[in-house]
Amino acid sequence: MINTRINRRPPTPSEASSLHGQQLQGCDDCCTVQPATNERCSFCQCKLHARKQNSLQRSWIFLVTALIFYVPANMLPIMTTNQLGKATYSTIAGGVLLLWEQGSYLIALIILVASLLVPIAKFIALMTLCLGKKLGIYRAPQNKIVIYRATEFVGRWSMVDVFVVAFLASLIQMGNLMSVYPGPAALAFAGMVFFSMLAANSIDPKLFWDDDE
Amino acid sequence: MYDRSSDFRVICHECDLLVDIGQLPEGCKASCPRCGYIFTRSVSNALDRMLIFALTALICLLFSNLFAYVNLLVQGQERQISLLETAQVLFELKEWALSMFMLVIIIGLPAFFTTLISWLAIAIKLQRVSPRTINLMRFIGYLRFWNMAEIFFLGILISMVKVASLAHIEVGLSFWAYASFNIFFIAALLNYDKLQLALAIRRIAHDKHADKQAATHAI
Repeated sequence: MINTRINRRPPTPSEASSLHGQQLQGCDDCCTVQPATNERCSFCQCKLHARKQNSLQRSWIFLVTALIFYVPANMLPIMTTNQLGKATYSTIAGGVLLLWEQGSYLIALIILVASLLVPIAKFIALMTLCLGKKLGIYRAPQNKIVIYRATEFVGRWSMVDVFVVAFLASLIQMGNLMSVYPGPAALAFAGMVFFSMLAANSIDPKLFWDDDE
Repeated sequence: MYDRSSDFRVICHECDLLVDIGQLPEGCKASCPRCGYIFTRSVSNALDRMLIFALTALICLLFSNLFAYVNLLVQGQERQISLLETAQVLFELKEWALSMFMLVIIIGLPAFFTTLISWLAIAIKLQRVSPRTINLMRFIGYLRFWNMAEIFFLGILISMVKVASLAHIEVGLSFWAYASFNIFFIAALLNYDKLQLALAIRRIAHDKHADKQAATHAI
């Protein structure tokens, strides 16, 4: 595909969405351009907001909730294996180590990245986006948007560990021979991913450019 | 009031920049010059493609529920499960929340989502849309955010490699159906172009409005 980028002088934030001196805003649902004074969209009648409301506060609350879920998700067993009457409990980190010892390096790496590294990276990224202004960490909006898009994209993929546990537990039910049960950490982990997805989604990227002004 | 040239003026969703896209040649994409957000891709027959991929995905999903998708053999014992049984077994283990979550994520949401985008495409094709159709699009946007079917599929693959060292595992017919469902589902999503769909709805609504006015003038 050919990329036809429209080249023009990058406008300053204050003139970004004005035309003939009139301030404008976009309707996110029907993609129309509306005067900034409109409270409702003239086409689809939805409520217009120039920015997502309380975006950073909401994101911050979801992030803290996700962090609270992160603790039991890593401390409690995510899976219980019952083999010939002997029960073994495994945590996420334990599972990765076990897989590594068994020689499944690729899978150990996927689980390590998806369940341990990505959530931590996401927490740090969201914190810099939420608290950057307060802490005085300056990031150019072009960098912030890259961080924002990466967190948005990567969020769902952490759920893979929950699916692995749920799938194994439903498949391996062979009575005493071998049975797998999901542990309490599976739900905690799902909660953690759920809230961190909400946290990433609550951020309004338009704010990055406002800060730049 | 309605001006066709304003069709191509958009405000970036991610940085609030006003951009005039103009008539896009086929095979091109328009992105925001400031933040790189992709407004639209000009693909020929995007609506038809989306509809066909969505319907195919729906049929594949239906098929994937009919048979077992994995077969496990451990020391002479055999066990088969289907997609629905995945949730059912968890339900029997009294993992209510996990069971509901699986049911929604692997079957409920994808089925609902593909039905809705097919419905939207058919409504636009039959010109039976109004400004309220935008509400359906907004709802589709919410559902799209929670879609995790392909991640579940990756989960199956990982688990199978995990289990393969302990037991003999075979894939069933439904596994392939679910794999093709994922491919068509992603293909449909790639052809879901919010701006083009909103434009189509706006044009149809405007034409209807103009016809109505012409009719009242004639009387």
